[in-house]
Amino acid sequence: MIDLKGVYKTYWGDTPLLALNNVNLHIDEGEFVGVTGPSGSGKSTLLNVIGLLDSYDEGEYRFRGQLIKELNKEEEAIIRNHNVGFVFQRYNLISFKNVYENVELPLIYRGVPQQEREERVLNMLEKMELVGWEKHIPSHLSGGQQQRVAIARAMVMNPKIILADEPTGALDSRMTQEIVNLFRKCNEESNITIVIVTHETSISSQMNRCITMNDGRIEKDERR
Amino acid sequence: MKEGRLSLRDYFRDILTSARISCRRGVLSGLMTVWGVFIFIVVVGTSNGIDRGNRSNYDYLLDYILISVSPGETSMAHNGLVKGQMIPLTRSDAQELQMLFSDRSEFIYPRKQNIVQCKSLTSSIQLLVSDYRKELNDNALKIVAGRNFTQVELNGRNRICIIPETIAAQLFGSTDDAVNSILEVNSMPYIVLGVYKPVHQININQVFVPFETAMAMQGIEDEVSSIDIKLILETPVKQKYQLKEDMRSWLYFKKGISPYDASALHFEESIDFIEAQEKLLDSIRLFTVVLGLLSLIMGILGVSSIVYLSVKERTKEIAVRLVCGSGKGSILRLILGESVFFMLVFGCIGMALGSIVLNIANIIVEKFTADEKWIFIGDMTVSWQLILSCTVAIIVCGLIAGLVPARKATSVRINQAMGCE
Ligand SMILES: Nc1ncnc2c1ncn2[C@@H]1O[C@H](COP(=O)(O)OP(=O)(O)OP(=O)(O)O)[C@@H](O)[C@H]1O
Ligand SMILES: [Mg+2]
Repeated sequence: MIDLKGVYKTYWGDTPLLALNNVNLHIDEGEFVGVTGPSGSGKSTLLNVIGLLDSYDEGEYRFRGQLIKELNKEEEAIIRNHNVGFVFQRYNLISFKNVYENVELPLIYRGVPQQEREERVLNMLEKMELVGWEKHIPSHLSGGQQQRVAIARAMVMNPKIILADEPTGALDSRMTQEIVNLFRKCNEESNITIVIVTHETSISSQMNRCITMNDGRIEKDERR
Repeated sequence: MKEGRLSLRDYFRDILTSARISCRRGVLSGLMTVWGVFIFIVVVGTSNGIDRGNRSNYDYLLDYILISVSPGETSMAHNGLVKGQMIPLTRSDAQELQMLFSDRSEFIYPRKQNIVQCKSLTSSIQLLVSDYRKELNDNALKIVAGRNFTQVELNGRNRICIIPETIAAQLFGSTDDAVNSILEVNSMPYIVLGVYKPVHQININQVFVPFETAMAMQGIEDEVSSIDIKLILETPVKQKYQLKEDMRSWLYFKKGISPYDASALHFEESIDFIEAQEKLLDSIRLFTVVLGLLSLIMGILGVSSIVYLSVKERTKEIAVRLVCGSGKGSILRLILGESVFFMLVFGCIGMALGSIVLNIANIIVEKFTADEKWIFIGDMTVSWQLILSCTVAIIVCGLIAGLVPARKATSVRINQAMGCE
């Protein structure tokens, strides 16, 4: 599924910063992976490279067998839209659209017909335990609920992989556990590959596989 | 449907919702746009009015490409002529010109025009008595009461005349009363044959009589006021000037005028006059175009700043749309659509205000210029053609206003937008 070989990435700011330093990583379909490490160790950068949101300088990255370097921006966008769901720390919902419309948006852009859209959105909202909240705008919801909407939005496209950058960073421990359970449910029921970046050991300890990063390198890669 | 696009319904819904939000903050910039479009339409309307007004003063000339020769004064001594001597034009001059140049012109006529006092029961008014020949074209005179001259009358020297409505009303009360009444000119009675509608401000005190009658009105039997030469239409400019020069040198030779004397006889061309007028109008037009464009640019800046701010605040939303599979084209259309929407809303307000102001101004101007001979400003009211083209201009302006914000919107980087708070 994900295949990184000797990947380097440097941010050319005031002082050049090696954010990914010879990263070798293989993730199989259906894995449930946690990424931890100190702040600034390159976790987000790694996730962005995996999710085709950012480029890399050297090495080789294959996404489902496809060599990414060869693609132009449009082709990358198509692969991303068809395969990757994103969940961010800030829920990043559109504030003037209600819950239903937020989840519906990717289906609209995909050109899914109205009837099927409704079916899939309601189905997903039920799965995320958001029934009854369809007509509310995001600011009426708690943080945990908003994050569930964001997950629903990522899941509604049936992605192959979900990349979540500190999805529980702004939530209390009860909500955090709720979200982790949801991710696990997605992973087990739909066999979706899930990669979660997190600071919290309480989360990473629940993962089947835990990757620890430091200074742009993969320091540890443990499977349980 | 192609991927990464919104359906038309969703497209308009998204535009309206986000427009509603940024509208509240963009009121000031919106006023700028309203003002800009307002000025634009006022400027265009005024310019149209000036155009129409001025044109109406010499529209009738466009039918006649005329060279008109009139008497002048010598500016130098030559062949026995002293400086400052009047050079008259006579009926025989006209006849000789006619013989020499008839193949190169449509007609050559002597004309006689006298300014006379005309006494009526109540007042004394000044009339311009002209012979009728210049207006031989039937379209030129619109008879509203009575009748036109017959060909026989036209060649005779009876004291008969055709008067304008304005004079008829002034002297006889109504046009119908004027017909067959007596107009007293220089203590001589003239029978009014008909009443015509003056198409022109300069016609309003012009009374027409047959040529010979006009000639007899003044003592000096043979002198004419001018000789008019109507050129064959489509005479090339070069030939036109050649003809003029040939006529000039023949007349100068006949009258013994120095070839270097520029003022002994006046040659006027209606075409020169029209050209001069058009040049003046052109410069007014250029001025208004510049002013209009500047005000439109102001309108564009107003909308552009609203949309730019809106995009800046919505980088996250745009990133979300991209993550949700929106194509860049769709984002571009969304921002451009919003920009056009704002431009239309504020533009229509400006357009409406401008039209109202122009209509009011038009009423006032009409009131004050009703009696003017030379019209400077004509109808300024806004036509639907102007509204239509203005709307198109506004839409184009909206697109232009959206360019910079839309470029900014499509250059949003997802990972950066999502990270920032
Ligand atoms: N756009 C950028 N330009 C320059 N430097 C950057 C940029 N993005 C990240 N960096 C730097 O690259 C390094 C890795 O950043 P990254 O965001 O991947 O770390 P992280 O592990 O996600 O940290 P955190 O836990 O704080 O989110 C950091 O030192 C960061 O300052
Ligand atoms: Mg990070």
